[in-house]
Amino acid sequence: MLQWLCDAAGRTRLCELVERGYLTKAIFETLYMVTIALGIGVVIGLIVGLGLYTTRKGGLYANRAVYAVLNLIVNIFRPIPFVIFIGAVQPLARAVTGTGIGNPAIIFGLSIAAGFFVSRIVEQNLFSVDPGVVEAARACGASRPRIVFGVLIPEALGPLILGLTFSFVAVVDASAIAGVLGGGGLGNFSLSYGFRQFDTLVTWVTVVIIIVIVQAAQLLGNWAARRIMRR
Amino acid sequence: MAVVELRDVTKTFEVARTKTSPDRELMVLDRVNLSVEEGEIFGLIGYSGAGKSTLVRLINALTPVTSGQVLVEGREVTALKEPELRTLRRNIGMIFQQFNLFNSRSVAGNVAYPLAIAGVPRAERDVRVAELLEFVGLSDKALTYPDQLSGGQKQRVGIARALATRPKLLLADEATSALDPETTQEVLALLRRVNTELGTTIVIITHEMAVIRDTAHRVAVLDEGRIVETGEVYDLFANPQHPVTARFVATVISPPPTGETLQTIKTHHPKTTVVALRFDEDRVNQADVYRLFFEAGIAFELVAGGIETIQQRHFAQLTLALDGSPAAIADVLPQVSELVHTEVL
Repeated sequence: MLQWLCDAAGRTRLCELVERGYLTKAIFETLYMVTIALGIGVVIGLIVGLGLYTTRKGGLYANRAVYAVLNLIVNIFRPIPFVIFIGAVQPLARAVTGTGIGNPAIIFGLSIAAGFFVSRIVEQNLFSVDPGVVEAARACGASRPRIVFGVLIPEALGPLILGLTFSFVAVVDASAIAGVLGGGGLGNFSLSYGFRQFDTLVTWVTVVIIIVIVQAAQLLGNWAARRIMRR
Repeated sequence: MAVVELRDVTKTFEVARTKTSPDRELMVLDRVNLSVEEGEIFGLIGYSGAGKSTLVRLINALTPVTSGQVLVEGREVTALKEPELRTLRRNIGMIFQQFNLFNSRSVAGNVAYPLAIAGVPRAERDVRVAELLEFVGLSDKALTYPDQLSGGQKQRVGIARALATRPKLLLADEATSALDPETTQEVLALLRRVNTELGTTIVIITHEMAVIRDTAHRVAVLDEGRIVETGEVYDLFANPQHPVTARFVATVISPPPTGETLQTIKTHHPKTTVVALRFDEDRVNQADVYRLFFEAGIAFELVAGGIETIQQRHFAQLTLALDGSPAAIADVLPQVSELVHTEVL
């Protein structure tokens, strides 16, 4: 398809970028960063989100102190713009991944940010579960872990998947800032070869590719959620 | 031995401070004493906010008591730790106003859930689920999901789920309040069948006196956190002592007319004596009373009232307009009042 674009638009710089494999590399870098970061982010988000939901007043593990701490951490870190956040956690990224620049550092920052983001999504979707259902499980004599994993999560799964689809889009968005720390991906590609070189065609090709990725993810997420909710 | 016993149970909730009032404790249940005997259907009636849903949740300790004791089959629930409470809850079924079915599980999955929690092996579970669905008449719905069922069907699944572990006690929290009258009858009939066929003791919470009339053997009336009256359902209908009880009874059986209604009756039946008769035991036939009027040459017309069958016993509250000579009426009324409770209005 990229070759076709090249031929259709005539010999431009885009063709060179495509032929050298830069664009393909950028696409794969973005997918790679986003997948790993979202994977780690979902694990963190599920843990923290469940923590927020269950330790809240009246929750299964109601604990005012734990809730206050979790809530404070999420509230402090989640609203930080990613471009600032990535710089702020750079020392930590260096300590963990061994480097403060490039894709590993980006993935580290992206994972943490996704974790905070997903936490709120998870918490909100757990709220959509009817408390009566939790009560019914308690009345059956279910233990708290069994309620969480056997009732709470399955009941919230449909909206959770939609929430994760939403998070995927947010992570794709954030990953575009990778260039700031010398990382790759479509964001960096578009800035370096499109915006900074006044090559609007390159920028717009990137835009279209990102739209395709996001739409594909959205369709997949909607399909999975619909299947789970049987609607 | 009582299946459930509440001794001096008090429950308070903390109410957060508002602009007008400081932090305070809201007393929801105030020194409640009651006992539910094995094999009976025990009704608990009260207006919304009377504390009945809280009370029922004290029995399986979904809500902890503030003070007092709750005993289930002689064991003090209030002294149990969490793992013991889970075992206790496995032996107490519960159904809810909003059914509270697991939407992520099929009908069979819902019914199997308590069995899985109780550690019943899968093969045994399947047999039991089939048995239960048969009992509630939903065998053909095993693989459907709750959101495809009607309200009555949902509640029947709720009942099957609650009975899965063969509990001796079933708690029904406003089980029919979200259902239409016809479905209500269907669910109440099922609950009666659970009681008679399986011998399950049932505690029914409701704000509808008709539900009490149709199911319960004994009843307690809860008002503002206190039990104001308790006794056999028949006795409460026939002779309510507390004004709240009387108000509930009046929703099912019209009390003798008063005020404007009485005036209207008197206007429509001039020159008559209006009397209210209460037939509250089976020993007196209406015919015996009417014969007295007949023999005294008194004509009469039935102007208000109702007849109910409660726990296979009849109860009638009838208001008659007697048309006859004042002397004959004055003569016959003492004889009538020997047979039934008589009141000249």
